[in-house]
Amino acid sequence: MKIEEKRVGSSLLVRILELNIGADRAVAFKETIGKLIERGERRIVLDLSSVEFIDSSGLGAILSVLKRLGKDGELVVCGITPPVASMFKLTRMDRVFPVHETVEEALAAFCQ
Amino acid sequence: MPLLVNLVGSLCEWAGACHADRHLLVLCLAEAANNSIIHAYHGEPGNKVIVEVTLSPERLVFEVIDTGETADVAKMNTDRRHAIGAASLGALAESGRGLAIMQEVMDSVEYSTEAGYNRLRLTKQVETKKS
Repeated sequence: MKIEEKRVGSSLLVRILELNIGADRAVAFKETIGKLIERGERRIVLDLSSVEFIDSSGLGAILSVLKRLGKDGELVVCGITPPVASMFKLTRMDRVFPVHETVEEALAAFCQ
Repeated sequence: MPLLVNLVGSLCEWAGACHADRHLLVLCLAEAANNSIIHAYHGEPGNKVIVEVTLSPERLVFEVIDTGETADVAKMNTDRRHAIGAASLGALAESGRGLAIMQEVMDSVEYSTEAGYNRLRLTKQVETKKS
């Protein structure tokens, strides 16, 4: 899975450079982000501004990452496009992890 | 899958489905196709999933057909909408939301099987544009 990483203080900003996180990309997503967690990353800002489609498998992959981060880790999501927002609203994901409009807001949330 | 999603998204837009609905309709079609690929065919390549889209003045119907393993018909036709939200499913459950999503978005979701063909029929009332 194509991503772009940027260190911002103790956080890692990860921008997903794919148009879709569907069933065919969910495993790749888990593996890619999983490697980041394995190397010690614990505060991840997931920028989904390029993602135009996510299905329940993709959502499951994000939840898998959240579980892997565990109690010591944090995940916030930002930049969600309207299709992804519809999906998150439908599945009430806003109750599971924070969703911010912009990268700046997401990073600021980590600083609070 | 992306090609199918784009084609159907355009059809939904033409049918007059509002923007938010269009995304969710496309999502439902993807979930239905995934069901066939993952559960009926166990992810094995080389199998066929047939998608039929019917647009009439008042409704949009997706039928997703496979010839793989038949699902439990009673389970597939059970209301699973309670499972859609994070709290009820177990907040971090990684799977199990597909059917609930379809049932929440569509006006009806019907699973049937006949002569080796499994059919998932999704129906949504829409106000189609007049030509």
